[in-house]
Amino acid sequence: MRGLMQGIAAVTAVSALLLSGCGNSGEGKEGQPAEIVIGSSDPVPNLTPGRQTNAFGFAMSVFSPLTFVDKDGKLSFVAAKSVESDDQKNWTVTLRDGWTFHDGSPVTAEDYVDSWNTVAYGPNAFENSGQLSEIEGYADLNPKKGQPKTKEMDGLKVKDDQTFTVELDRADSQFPIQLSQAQTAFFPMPQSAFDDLEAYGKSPIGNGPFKVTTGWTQGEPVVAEAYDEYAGKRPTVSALTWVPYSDNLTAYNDALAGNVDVQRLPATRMNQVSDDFDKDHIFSFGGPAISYLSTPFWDKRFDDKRVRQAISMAIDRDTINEKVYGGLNRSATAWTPSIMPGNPDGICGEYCKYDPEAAATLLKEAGGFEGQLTLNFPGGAGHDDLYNAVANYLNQNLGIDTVAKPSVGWAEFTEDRNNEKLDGPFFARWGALYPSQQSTLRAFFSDAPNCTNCGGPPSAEVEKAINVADSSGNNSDAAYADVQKTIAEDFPVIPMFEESYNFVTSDKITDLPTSAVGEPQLADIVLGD
Amino acid sequence: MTQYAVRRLLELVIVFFGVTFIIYCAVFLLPGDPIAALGGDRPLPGAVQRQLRLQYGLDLPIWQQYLNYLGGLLRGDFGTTFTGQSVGEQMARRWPTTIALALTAWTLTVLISVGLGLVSGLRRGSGIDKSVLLGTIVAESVPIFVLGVMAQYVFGIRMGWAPVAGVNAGWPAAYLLPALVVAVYGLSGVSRLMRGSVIDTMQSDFVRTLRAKGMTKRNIVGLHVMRNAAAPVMTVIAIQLGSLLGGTVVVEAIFNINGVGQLLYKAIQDQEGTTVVGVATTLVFIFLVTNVLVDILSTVLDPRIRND
Amino acid sequence: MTEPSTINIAARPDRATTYGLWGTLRRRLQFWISIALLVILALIAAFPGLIAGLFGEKDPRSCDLSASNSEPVPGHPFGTDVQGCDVLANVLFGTRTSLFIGIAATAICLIIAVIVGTLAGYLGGWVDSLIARMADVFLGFPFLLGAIIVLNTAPSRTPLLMASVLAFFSWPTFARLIRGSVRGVREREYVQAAFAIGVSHLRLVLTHVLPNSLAPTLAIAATAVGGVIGAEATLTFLGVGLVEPSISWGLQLSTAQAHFQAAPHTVVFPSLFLTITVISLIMLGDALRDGLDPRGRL
Repeated sequence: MRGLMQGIAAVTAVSALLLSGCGNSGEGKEGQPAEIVIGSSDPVPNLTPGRQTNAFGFAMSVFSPLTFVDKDGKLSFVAAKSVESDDQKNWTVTLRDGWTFHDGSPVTAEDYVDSWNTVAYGPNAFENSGQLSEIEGYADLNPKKGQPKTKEMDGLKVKDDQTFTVELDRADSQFPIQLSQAQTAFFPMPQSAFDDLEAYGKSPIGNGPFKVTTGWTQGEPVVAEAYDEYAGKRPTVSALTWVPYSDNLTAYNDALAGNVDVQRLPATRMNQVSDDFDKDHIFSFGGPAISYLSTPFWDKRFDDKRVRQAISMAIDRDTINEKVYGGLNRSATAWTPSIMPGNPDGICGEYCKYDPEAAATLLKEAGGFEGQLTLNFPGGAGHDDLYNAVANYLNQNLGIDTVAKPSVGWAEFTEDRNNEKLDGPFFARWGALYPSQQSTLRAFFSDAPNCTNCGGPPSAEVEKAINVADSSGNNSDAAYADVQKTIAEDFPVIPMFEESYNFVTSDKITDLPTSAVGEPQLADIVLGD
Repeated sequence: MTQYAVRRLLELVIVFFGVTFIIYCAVFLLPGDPIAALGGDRPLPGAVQRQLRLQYGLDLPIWQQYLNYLGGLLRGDFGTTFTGQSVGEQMARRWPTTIALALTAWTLTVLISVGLGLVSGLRRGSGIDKSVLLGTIVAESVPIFVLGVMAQYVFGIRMGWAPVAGVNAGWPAAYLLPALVVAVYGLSGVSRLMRGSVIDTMQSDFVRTLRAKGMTKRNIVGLHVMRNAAAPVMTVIAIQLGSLLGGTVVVEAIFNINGVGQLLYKAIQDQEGTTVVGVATTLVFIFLVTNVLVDILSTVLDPRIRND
Repeated sequence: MTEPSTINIAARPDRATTYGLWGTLRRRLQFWISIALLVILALIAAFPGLIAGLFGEKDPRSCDLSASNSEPVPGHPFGTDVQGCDVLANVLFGTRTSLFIGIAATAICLIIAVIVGTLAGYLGGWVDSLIARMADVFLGFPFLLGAIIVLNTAPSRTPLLMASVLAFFSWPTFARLIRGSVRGVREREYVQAAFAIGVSHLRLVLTHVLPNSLAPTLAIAATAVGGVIGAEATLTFLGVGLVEPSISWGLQLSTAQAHFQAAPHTVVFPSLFLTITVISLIMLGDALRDGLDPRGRL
């Protein structure tokens, strides 16, 4: 029955498009609507923007953000007309006129406020609620114990249909950037969503260029078609289909067979992608992500920062990048990736440069290293080659008996890390969702309690420097760079690689545009003719 | 006979509960925190984690969780995953795929190995006989994932004869190649059994008599050899079906077949306890039922086998 | 050997079987080829470094990442893997681990199976039933799940642990075989006769029942060693097998399969060794089985 309904829907959609004429840019050369198939290999339990953790391509196509940062770091406004503040603490968001949700209802300030309150409300347990934590009143919705006494944040006030104000719990010059395309917790949901959040999560109604026509069912493709009433820029393709795969290697193989148009490149294929695909169909975007080798500050053997620096200097990042990542990533030279505005490239200095002799000398000065060194990383995620290479370097250059040990999966790794049970340096990375050094620094070096992802022991000094930078207005970029000077002094974690987000495409696609968050802009795909 | 069947079925129930309890405990013994890991490398806010733990009853003692689970099971409810999906629904969607794959593989094993066994049995000691023996052994000695990856590369990507991944192409196109890979691992055993049976039958007195009477070799093979060989071969083949179901995990992973093998493997990695228990329990159940059926059937088919 | 009279009477059939077996075996080419291959493999397992040194790099841990995935060249006759380690040295060192796992797992499995299977077959009755259902539980328990749980709760994954896990989940098949042949032997007249003249149960089992049922089991065990070596590789592929710094064919293969297209030699050479080992073991088992059961002979 469902199949029949789908068939009817497809036929209707096709005839509608044919009737609407062939001049549309969204149609391929034979007058067929251009449908793009995207391989999706991550589990997508829930598509609500406040809950999705790995369906960025989907969320960014079905929803439009308030602000947008392009790949050169320039901020522009999409659904918002303006986001303004005098003191960087109290912000006024004004929406553009004429925007509607896919169900036809207008997008209002109230929708935003209600959506944000829903995302932040503790008992809803929305995965992305942390993105809203700076809004005044967030703590009331997420009390340490018991149930919250209120469902609304004090910091949000509706002024009129198109305007609302946001009060933050501190001055933060980065707020407009935080409202950009990948911070999906800030996306608006229509009133109908709040009646049945569960159903909404399977087939969300958004305000973006594409409207969901086939919602999520386990193991089945999700389809979204161009939304005719969209108030923003018209998309270049008429439909997007996300086909689920068990893992990205399988999806990649299917892309190789020509069945997928846009596919994320698996880490283990970075080396050979140039043999598999034409270079015009390999897209490597500098991402806002950086990986580290974190050191266990609960283990005395790593107390001396010279030990950490020696380990850093003993690793030949450039050769690893060339041999393991096919030259697609970049060796890190700072604690945030270079795509971030004002990033202090090279601040890590000699300690991020490969120098085996100096590394051995430094380790000797620090008193050497006792016993076996275990490198811990989450298994099944394609990190094996990297950690085996690092282990070889530490074996050969520092004479430390090093073992690279994968965990079964994330669950085991996370628990061991959170409980400080890891007995050696371990995997750490941060993929920022908005292009500001702030995102990475806050995620990694804040002294907030229970910061399980944080590198090194909490440092009040670094926290203070971040707070200063947050309120530095136009000088914030330089101020965040200063924070990194403090970090470099202490060297709590070892910067490894700036990650690129890589994609391969079918012959259909001639250009895959990106933005400052390293994800492809599916609505702006350029098709060949 | 009836008494035997009833006894076996009663034992089945006991074994079933034993196995589910062991599996349940085992899953909760796994190291790791599934809730904390839900967000990947972006940690979930503490309040969110607390809420989820409460929602899934993870704060209860394990025996109580097991009883709750059993209670749900009796009502036909397999529970939900930590991301809120119904486990029963997932299994209902995936079991047919795995069963289709296993049955296809099983049919291929039977057809190919009976054919091979027949040929090598009739041409005993010939070049064909020897190369069948060597061929099946060589194929079987390569680990299944190596064979799978190679088959996918050669036939899927390079030659384009079969879909590279997924079952969207439907049966049989999407199932043949992965099923063939699974089938290879049953070939040598069954074909040799068949070969032995053929040799035995051909040497038996009644066949000699028939030949003396002038019956053609083709008719003898068709009428008598096949029938005589069928009983022992059937037993082995039936047992194989059970193990095939579990053995498709690797092939499902390589060919992106959304079967229960994949579901189980992923669930173990993500520590989705309810899913693991659900899938494992159904797997065990099918295995046990097949076993009992085979035992009972073989008693019926061959009165010489005494099951006492 | 303390009571020669009884043993002499009863041992005659046994010796006859053994003599017949050897007589058959020594005329079989298949037997000698497999023995020759296994001797070579045993030598490699005993002196991997020495043999690797003859061909080039003798240290499997001496790796140069900048020479990663290079094709076979003099000095690296099998090429290098993704880490730039010598494939030949790794294959040779892997022989020791893989053979060890294969043999140890089968041995552990046999020990469990012999005890359990003999008890079931000899005693029969409720013991038999209980053991049969226990075997069902183990056979029905998803192997992957069991392996993952044991391997992950253990502090470190050593080859011995791998072998134990593999044995732990494969004994029921053997136990059934042994049970079957023990029952067969037990019913024979000479065993009944020995019991009638007052030979104790234990002695009877040790001197008559076991030797007679063990031979066919050993033949299958030889085949099983090969299967275990392959299973180790598959577990590693699924992410629950051995981890560095262990060196095994399974580990090599599961790393290499991701680079299969770029560097096929990293898959081909370990597979070749694995296949040769498994084949020689299967051939040995086959020869033994044929020797014991002349009807199925080629």
